[in-house]
Order: sequence, then structure tokens, then C-alpha cells
Amino acid sequence: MIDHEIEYIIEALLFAAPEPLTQNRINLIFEADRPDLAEVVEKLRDRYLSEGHGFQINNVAGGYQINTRPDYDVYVKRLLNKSGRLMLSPAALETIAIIAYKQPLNRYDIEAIRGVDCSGVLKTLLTRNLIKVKGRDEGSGRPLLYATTDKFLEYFGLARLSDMPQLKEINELTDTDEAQGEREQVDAFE
Amino acid sequence: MYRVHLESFQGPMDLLLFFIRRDEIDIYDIPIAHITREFMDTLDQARALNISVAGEFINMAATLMQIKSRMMLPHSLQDDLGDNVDPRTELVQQLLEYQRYKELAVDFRQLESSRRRFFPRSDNRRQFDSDEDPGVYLREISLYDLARRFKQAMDAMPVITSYDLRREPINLDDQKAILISSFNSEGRLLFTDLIKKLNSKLEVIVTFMALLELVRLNQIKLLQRRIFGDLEMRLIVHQA
Repeated sequence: MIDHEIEYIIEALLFAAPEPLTQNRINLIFEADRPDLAEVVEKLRDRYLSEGHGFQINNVAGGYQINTRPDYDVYVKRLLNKSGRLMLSPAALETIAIIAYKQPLNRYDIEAIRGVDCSGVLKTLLTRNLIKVKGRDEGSGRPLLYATTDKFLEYFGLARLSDMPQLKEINELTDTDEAQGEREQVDAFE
Repeated sequence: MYRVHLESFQGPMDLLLFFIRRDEIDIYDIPIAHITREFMDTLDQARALNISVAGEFINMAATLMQIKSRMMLPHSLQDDLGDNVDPRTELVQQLLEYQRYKELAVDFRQLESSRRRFFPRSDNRRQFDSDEDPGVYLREISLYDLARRFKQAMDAMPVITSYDLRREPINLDDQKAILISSFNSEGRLLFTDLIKKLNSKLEVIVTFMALLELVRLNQIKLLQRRIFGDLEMRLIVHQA
């Protein structure tokens, strides 16, 4: 195999893949000499950078995906007729934040935190494949347990769950100088 | 004095946090009387505008009143060690927990916005074709998907709006007559042949009852040569 050929192959796979391309998927494609996807992607990125392109490779949901560069979103939106206004409701965002950090958990745990009925929101999130049912909880009624999906990672552009925003210490409401200092540290760390 | 619009809040906790922020209240020392008054006023305003107040708000109002009354009694709550417990503690913990996720929701909103500036090629979504590998093909299917499809199928069932009830024109005597007339010239009839002539479940059932009745009346007899074999019926000719 020519030195650069593996880059072209991976590029072709990234181009054709309908969902983020993972190392696991690569391992199924190559019988021997399985390429290190992360390594090849780095080479491709270097090449794109030096050549200049309207697209780039992003880390998404544990894999890699070719995306248009955000600089040109205005044009792409016009092409696809997307207003970009159809976003998740505040209720859906609160709910998915709770699920993301405490998963798996049941509806009553979510409602205990939000203080409101969440059945409608959960239905929306399920329909949009952002969360899934992950078995049943112990205890009375054996309520369904919810967890986030790969689609959730993709939707928020996260490579993995650990890339989520850090849980902040609660001090906004009780701001003292000390707490302020702590938070700045956390922010700097991010 | 401006109005607080109930419907712009994500529930009672959100409303309480709004008051705390607006009035620069120390969350660890909430003036319960003040905040209860604010809360109740807001509910009253909503009611005055004919906006139905969700049960969660009423529930929170009750909680606030309870805390308020406990605050007036000295040492009404004690923990396992016998130390006095501030009646507000549980509510404060809940508010802090909720506040934490409310902030995260803002972070997720930012992620959502920035992600929306990237467009993948996959808008013409095809899943990986995997005819030969059902494991891959079915991998995205969750219990919820199945339940949803099932519900769709159930919802799509034709709805019968008017009922046309008719008495089935089948009765025991008729079936007995049909049964008797089905015997061949040698007075024999196979059960499977009899069943073939019948059209509905009800007809089968009534015919079977007729069969039993005829056996009881000693007009026919039943033979079965093998276990689970066909039933053979013989007409009994009574000598006059």
C-alpha cells in the first residue's frame, strides 16, 4: 500500500459514512493492518489545514465525522433551507442535563429535581432519539430508567460523555469572594 | 409594579429561584414569610387572568406554608442526634440541586447553538446496509421504538364507528339437522369433513354442541381409531 493511500481510504470512508466513523467500524472493514483511525484523521486534518477546505473532521459521539466549517454556516443553512430556530425547549434542556449527569435514572428522580411533571418532555426526547429506555429500576412500580444516546452526543457535538460541561459547585446564589475565586479556577480549568 | 408571568417559568422551583435572585436573597437564609407572599401573589395574579395554575405550584405553596408554620414553632424539627433542624433545609437543598441543572441547561444550549453551525454530509441519511448482519441492522432499535411502532399500528387500526349487531342465524337445532344431512349414504361422516363446511367460529362451536347432543341422544356414535386421530361419526339407525 502506498504511503498516502490509507489516508485516501479513510477519507473515502469518512465521506461515505452516514454516522460518525469509529475505530470499531474500521476494525470490521480491514482484515489485517488495521489503521489507527485517530492517527490517520490527524494527518488528514493537517492536509486540510494546509490545502484549505470548506469542511473539516470533527470528533463526534466517539467517532469522526466530516462537517462543513462553521464559518460558512450561513450559506449551508440557505442551501438546506434551515432556519436553525427549531431548538430544544428549556424544559427539554433541563431534563436532558439531569439525565446526562445522573443516568441511568427514572422519571420520578427527574421530577424530584425539576419539581414538575416530566412525562411530556421525556416523550419528546425519546422521539428525537436523544434518550433511550435502559431497563427498569428496582423498587415499587419498577419505573423505566432513562439514559442518553449516541445521538445525544452527536446533537450537542460531544465526542464522549466526559466532554460535557463540568458540574459547577453551587455558589452563584451565595456569591462570596471565596466562592467567586473558586469558580474562576474551575472556569480556567475548562 | 410589574407582573410576573407564571407561564414563563419552568415550574415552582424556577419561580422561587427568580424571587431569590431578584430580591438578592441569601438562599441559605430565605425569608419564608416574604417569599411565600410573593409566591401566593403570583398564583393569585395568574388565577385572576384565568390562567390555570398547575398542581405543582399549588403543591409548592403548601410546602411553603408548612415551612412558614414550622418556623414559628420553636424546635419543631430535630434530627437523629436531637439537634434542631432548620425547616427550610430540604427546600434549600432542592433549590440548589435544581439551580445546578438549570445552569447546565444553559451550557447545553450553547453546545446546541455551536453544533448547529456544523453540517454533516449525512443529511441524506442512509443507515449502513446490513442485510447479512441483523445485529448491525437492528442495533439502533430500542424498546421504545418497538413500543412506538406497536402503538402506531394499534392507532392505525380501522375504527368501527357504527355497530351493526345481528343475531347470528345459527342455532342448535339447525346445526343438528345439517349434521345429520351431512352423513353419506353409508351413514358415515368424518369430523374434518364436517368442519370444512363451516364458515365461522360460532358455527363450529354450535355444530360441535349439536354433535355432543346427538351423541347424548344416542343418534350417532363417535369413533377415534388413533389418539389425536380424526373423529369418525356413525349414524345409528334405530329399528322401529
